[in-house]
Amino acid sequence: MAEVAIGDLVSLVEESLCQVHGTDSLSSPVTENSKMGEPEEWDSLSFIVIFTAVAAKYDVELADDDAFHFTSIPAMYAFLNEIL
Amino acid sequence: MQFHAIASTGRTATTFLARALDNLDGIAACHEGYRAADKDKTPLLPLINLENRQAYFSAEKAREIVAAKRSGEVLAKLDIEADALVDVAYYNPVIAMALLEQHPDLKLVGIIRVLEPFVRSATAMEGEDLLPVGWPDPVKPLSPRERFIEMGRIKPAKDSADAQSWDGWSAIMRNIWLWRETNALLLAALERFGERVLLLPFEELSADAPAFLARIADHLGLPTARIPEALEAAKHHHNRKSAGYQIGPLTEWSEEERNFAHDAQTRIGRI
Repeated sequence: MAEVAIGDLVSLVEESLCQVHGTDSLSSPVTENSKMGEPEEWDSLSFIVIFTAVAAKYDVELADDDAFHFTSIPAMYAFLNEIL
Repeated sequence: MQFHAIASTGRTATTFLARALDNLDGIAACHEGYRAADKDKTPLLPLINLENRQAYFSAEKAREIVAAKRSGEVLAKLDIEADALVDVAYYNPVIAMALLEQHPDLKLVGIIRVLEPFVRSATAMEGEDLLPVGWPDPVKPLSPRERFIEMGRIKPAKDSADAQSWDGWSAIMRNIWLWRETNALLLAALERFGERVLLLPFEELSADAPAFLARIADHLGLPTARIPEALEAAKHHHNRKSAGYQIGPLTEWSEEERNFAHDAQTRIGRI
């Protein structure tokens, strides 16, 4: 059974993007299908914040080799539910 | 539309080459997915960044990446009018085999720079590296952008002998390894695909840029007219990498680093 809810991931990514860019409103909403560049605030700088935030929230030790799973919500969701 | 690729370690004037090629009639050239290396615009090709390391680790992953991001279907949907599309990128060595397999008409140019100037150019010991091609000093603080790019840079696979040594290696050792592995991939592509692959020494570009570009154009079947004009127009761009090296010449490297460099150079040879 999945331990990570996709809605929680969407919220976490949205909060991280808003925090990095100092805004309450993104150029487009974060959805279950969002990926790097969509919204445009999801850039390389935000990527690191999201990567770190996910590790902290789910208490997982992530290696750099895992990073490519964190370029979209679906990939992140699948990966987290595989390892948790 | 033809599709071709140019591959190198980076620090081989690839931005300049992409701009020059894009100036040739009927050619759309990208630098790491961005048309004419214009990174202020939306990329023309799907970006490949973090997948670079995965493609190095696994040939199957490389095939998946090419199928997902460089397939005929992806290229057919591009909003461009051109006879040929060329992507010039540091990630092309790790996907070279898959590109050549999946695109039977694709030709590849690999650019190989002499080891010492590559390592000196790619090694950052302090400050933010705005074009972080190589591994930095392991204790250098990284900006988020440097950190992101590092996550996709190739490094030894976990179960390899080099992985056991990695943590103890200096930035120079790591960049010698990067040079060796990247160029080994280009040599492997040449060995397997023969005439579809052309390897060029980077040093020929500074010696005779028109001849260098003409050799690339000849190999890829691109028009060679207007090469001088294409090069002249590309010269107006200056990349953000500051001039000067942060490490000394090979004669000042440690004995271990010099021996490692000698071994790498011996393995790759000279083209």
